Amino acid sequence: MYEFLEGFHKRMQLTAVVDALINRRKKKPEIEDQIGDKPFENLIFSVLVFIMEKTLTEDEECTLRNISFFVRDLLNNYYNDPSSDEKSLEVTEYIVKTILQFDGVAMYYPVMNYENGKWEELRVKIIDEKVMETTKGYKSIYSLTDQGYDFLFRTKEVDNELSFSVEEFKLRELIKRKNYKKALNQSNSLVQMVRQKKRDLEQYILSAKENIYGIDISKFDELIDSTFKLLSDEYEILGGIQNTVKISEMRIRDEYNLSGRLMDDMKKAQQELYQISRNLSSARQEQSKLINKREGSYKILISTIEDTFRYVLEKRFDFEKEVLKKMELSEEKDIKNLWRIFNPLFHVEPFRNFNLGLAYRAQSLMKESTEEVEPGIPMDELSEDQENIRAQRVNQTYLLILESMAEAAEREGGETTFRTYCEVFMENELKWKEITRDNLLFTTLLKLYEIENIDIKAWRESDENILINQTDEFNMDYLLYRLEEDSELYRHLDRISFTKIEGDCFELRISEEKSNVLWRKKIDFDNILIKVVKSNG
Amino acid sequence: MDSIRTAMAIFKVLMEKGQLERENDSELFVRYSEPEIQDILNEMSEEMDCELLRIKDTIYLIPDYDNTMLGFRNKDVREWIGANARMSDVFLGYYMTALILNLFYGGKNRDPKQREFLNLTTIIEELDTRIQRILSNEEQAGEMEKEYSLNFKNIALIWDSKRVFEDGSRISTKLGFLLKVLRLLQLEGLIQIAENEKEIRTTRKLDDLMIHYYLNDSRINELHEIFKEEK
Repeated sequence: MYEFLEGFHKRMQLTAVVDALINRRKKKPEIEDQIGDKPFENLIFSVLVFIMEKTLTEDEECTLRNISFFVRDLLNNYYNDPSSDEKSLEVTEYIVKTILQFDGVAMYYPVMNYENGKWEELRVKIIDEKVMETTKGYKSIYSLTDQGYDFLFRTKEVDNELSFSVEEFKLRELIKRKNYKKALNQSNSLVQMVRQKKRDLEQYILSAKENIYGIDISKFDELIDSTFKLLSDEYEILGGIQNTVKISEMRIRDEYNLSGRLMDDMKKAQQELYQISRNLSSARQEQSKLINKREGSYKILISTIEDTFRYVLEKRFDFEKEVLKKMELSEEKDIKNLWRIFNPLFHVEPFRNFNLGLAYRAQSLMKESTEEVEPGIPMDELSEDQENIRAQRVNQTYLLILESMAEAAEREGGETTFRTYCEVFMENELKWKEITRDNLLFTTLLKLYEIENIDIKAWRESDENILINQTDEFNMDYLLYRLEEDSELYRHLDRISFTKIEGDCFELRISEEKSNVLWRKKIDFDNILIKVVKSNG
Repeated sequence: MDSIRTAMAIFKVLMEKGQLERENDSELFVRYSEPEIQDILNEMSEEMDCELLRIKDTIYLIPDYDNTMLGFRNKDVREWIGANARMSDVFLGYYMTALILNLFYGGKNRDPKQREFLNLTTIIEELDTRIQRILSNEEQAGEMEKEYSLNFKNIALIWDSKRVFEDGSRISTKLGFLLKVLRLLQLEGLIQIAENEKEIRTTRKLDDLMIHYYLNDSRINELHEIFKEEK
């Protein structure tokens, strides 16, 4: 390999970003043409610098709205394109989402890594988007990625030959802009980073012990050497920033000497600088300990671990082939199993299965064999199936009422009263519950009373076709058809009639459990005479 | 005894929230790494048919694919689509979910996450393209039998008959149906729908689970089981 091509793939990072911004893949001429090709490129870079400034110098959030105000100002004052709020918002959305975020799609640029002789895909990601929940929904806050900072700094702020970490540079820039509050946060995060570095190092050593066979020793030495160099460089840079802090402190002291007093904001700045200074010295101390141990830097080590363990060792299946394609081959009967595909991703909600109400439901004796409940989506829980099940249940109850009334009358020598029927039937608690559920017994009796005479013989002789489309409505034709099929007694009946017995009333008390609540009702009834006429008279 | 108590406390949080974060439960998070506590938790999760997984600063409780006790159930699917849902609607909902996951995480080995956000129109267009592929090949019925089930062809017709949009966003329109599915995914903490309902983004939970667990090749047997059971 040519020595001068070492690190070439890193150089190409700059080209990758420029390519993504200049050779825009999804151009919208209707927006760009009004401003012009080159002016539009100027506008894109201006927006990037605006996002950088917002993130570095102010505590304000950088939202689409903030950016669109900036774009409107630029268009009005520098681009000869007076714009309304609406239009500048449209231009901003286009720049931020389509150009800087590539419509949300990950963007890659092929680069040659001469060190291993392989083409690599370099990810281009210029801005970060953090989504925050607000009372109205979600709001996006934009900031530059480290790649974005690196790119912008190199266009103006720093000389190419300087090597530094972006975090450190941000701190220096913040102090330069006298944004001590943010600089303090930045210095805090530097301290955390160094501590994290220590933890990661320990983690790496642990992983190395566990996966000793997977580690290339020559690479390990290389890593240690390069890490040591990196740490030394960072140590120097932090020293430089400490000097900048000292200069800022001296500036404040000079001001105090001149005016004889310190304003509140200057006092605050002094405190913040003091804190930054303390953070920097503790960061340097931690770094110096690490350097002394020559144990490596987190950047290289962690990226090695991540690359090795996350992206190389973890093979991933082809979702299109293994899920989508197979779903396309699924038949309707298979749908009830498909919930299993998504089960690991959905919320854990044990409480719907462990709720207290279950303990209070009617209990039954424990049997030796418990019925296996088929997991998954029972088909019958879908509404169409549920309607069918309800219609079936209601019709069964109609049949039970009609048959039991005829039987009761026949038992009593051809006629009985509704009062007697109820008194006898109540003794069979289970069946009584069944026929009084949803007041079915009483609504059925009202219908029968309205019909008054059911001429079974005439129906039998009529030869009319009936429509067997089961619903929960009281369909006399359908019920007679079923009774003729299933009931020996009905096959010998010619007529059944229901007539009111004047002046004979009685009271019924029934109880029903609905949603774990027991309802008690009192119903007053006129007594009804139920009379059956058999075929032989 | 202390270890059992701590393991129970960890499991309680996981049962309540489905995840335990370093930020909110730092003490429990740190103690999770103790081998004795891990042993207890492993036994508990084995008995409960679930898996505990630490991804960066979060520990997730992931129900096994056929766990009906902790996972989601038919009730959710009904709420998802609506009271008059037919099986074809439920299937379309599942297929749409799978399609969205594929659009976000179809990157296979290189970098599974392919997008930061996804426009609703892109989802509809993608589904339209797939459906058109089936419908335009309708005359070559013999070939299609191999590629698509009768059921799926039926779904294709149902989707194709829906209008793109009309006021009221009912499930009879493409956009209305898509929003139904998206709202459930949002409720499950997997995606965020933008305020203007034009685009969606994935949550950290979905990114974590998809990249570090769900798409792992080691799960392929589970998927084979699911589709085998159907046959």
